[in-house]
Amino acid sequence: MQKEYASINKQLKKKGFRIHKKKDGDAHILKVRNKAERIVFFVVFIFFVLYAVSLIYPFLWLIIASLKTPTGYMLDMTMGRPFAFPKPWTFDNYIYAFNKMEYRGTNFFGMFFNSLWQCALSLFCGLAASGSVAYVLSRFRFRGRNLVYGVIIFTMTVPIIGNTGGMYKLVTDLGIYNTPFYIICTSFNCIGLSFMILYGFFSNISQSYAEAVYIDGGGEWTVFLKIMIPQAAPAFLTLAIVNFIGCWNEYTGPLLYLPSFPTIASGMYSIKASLLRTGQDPIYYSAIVLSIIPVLVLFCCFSDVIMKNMSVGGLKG
Amino acid sequence: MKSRTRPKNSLNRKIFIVTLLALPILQWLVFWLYVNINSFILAFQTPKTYEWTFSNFQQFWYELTNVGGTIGLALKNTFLYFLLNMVIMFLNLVVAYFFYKQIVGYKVFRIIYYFPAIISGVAMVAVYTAFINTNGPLGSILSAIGIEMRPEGLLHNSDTATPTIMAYCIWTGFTTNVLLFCGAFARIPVELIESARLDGCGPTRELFQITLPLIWPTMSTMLIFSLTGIFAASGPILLFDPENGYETMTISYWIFSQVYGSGAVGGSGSYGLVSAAGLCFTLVGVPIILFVRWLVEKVPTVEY
Repeated sequence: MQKEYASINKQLKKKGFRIHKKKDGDAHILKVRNKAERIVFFVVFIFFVLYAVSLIYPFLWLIIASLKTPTGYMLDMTMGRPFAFPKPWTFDNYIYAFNKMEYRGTNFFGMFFNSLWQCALSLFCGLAASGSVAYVLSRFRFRGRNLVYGVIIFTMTVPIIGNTGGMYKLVTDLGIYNTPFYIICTSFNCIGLSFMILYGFFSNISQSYAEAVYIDGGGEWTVFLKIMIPQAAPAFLTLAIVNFIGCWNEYTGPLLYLPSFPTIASGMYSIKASLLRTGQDPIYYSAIVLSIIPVLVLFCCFSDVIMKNMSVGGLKG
Repeated sequence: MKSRTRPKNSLNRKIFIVTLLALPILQWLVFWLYVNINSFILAFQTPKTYEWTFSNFQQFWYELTNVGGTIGLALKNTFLYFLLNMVIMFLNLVVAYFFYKQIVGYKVFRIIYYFPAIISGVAMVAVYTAFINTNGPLGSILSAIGIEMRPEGLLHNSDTATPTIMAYCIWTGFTTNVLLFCGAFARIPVELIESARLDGCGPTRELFQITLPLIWPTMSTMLIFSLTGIFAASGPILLFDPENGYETMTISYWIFSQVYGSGAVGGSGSYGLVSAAGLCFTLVGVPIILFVRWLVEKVPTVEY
């Protein structure tokens, strides 16, 4: 293998390509670039750096602004000194946001709790439904299978809009408006990316594991719960993290259907107007910073899992 | 491969299949099929009294064609956002390509670019709005180079509000799709690239004749998924707080604003008008999707 790489590299060098060597001495073909390519890559790199800075710097600015007193912030802004550092530095905004800020009688801790249980319910129901249907459709051939699969694909690809009114009417008619049952009922669906990824995952698991269980006298439930679910754990974990982040940041659903259970996202949206109108921007910014800490921690812990599994298990036609 | 040991067609197996499928199918029947049938019926009913009428369609047509009508403006903006989404998807492909080619620091960039997907839209919009404020950092920077922003700012001006929200969409647009494209690129066998290079294939030819054809299945799937959102394309208008409009309306925000608060806060509750509009847009959107899907399937795919 080493000799093959050496030979390839030699030939490519002759053609004017520059070779980047890996630690073990082999060159990676994806890093082999000629002069024109190197110039393009340098220019693109500059753009990439600028874009990365544009994503990070505003948050640093927001954190600094959140450490100013409301009066100091207003003074800096009106005097044209938005980049000025706080004088004095204060954490009072964070204390206020955590202890006293509230919406509809729910304080920050309450919103945090609402976000947690709504995400947990939504995650469990969504993955249970997607996992069940994906498993059955990928492993069994039965009458109506193609119909169910076709309906799922149809539902995913046909652009039906304007049914929000019908949904709102149904939710109120069923009596689940503004109750946790809304989350259970609407999340227990198998339409979406979770189904597609789990369907692909279950389709690729070898049948021999199931055969071994059948020989040992086990049934379908044993195969599903003790063999297939544990094997699909990486896919479930990635989907759980990605869906959790999505659910944590969701604000339209709670605003429309769960007004008495404001989450961090919907609560922040609702509080925004009153805080900004009264010149308490730094308190709002500190609440924003507090609200993103949980997902940032989660992302830092699982970024490798997300990047790897989202990339590897992505779409393929 | 068929198995002899598998308890094929046994009662237990049937019970197992029915048990796993029953609840999700029931959920779909109630919360998708019934909701859509109900929406169809609502389109032909008057609000609150539920008498049969075509007035929703008449109102929809008036709002669509009348100069300054809300739905006409919403449709125009929605198409703008849809076109923007197509541009962003192309840019996603470009970014993913450079990640695939392992540009210096690509692992760090990939994580940083994913931030907008993990941080709430509420927080992102708060950061963006504060940053582009007339008295904020952007105003200060522009002022330093001799450009004065209007006192009302970019978001409180009809000429600049929608472009400003579109700029936000680009700013936050390099997240999940980049990862999915990266996944597609990563599946390309390295041996193919090696042999192409040895045969004298240049980078441009490699891109257009090897790389892109190989990831076409992923590209086409994402194209179709994007098209399903043709009439739902929008920026986070609600979060930008356009109380006075500033011509930022889109169809999805218009639908939301008609329904939001119907129960508790006192929204318009015009379910019939929303449903009539939805029905018309769906009738236009479905053939487009089916045509594009048919067209996409005509392009031969490469198995590898």
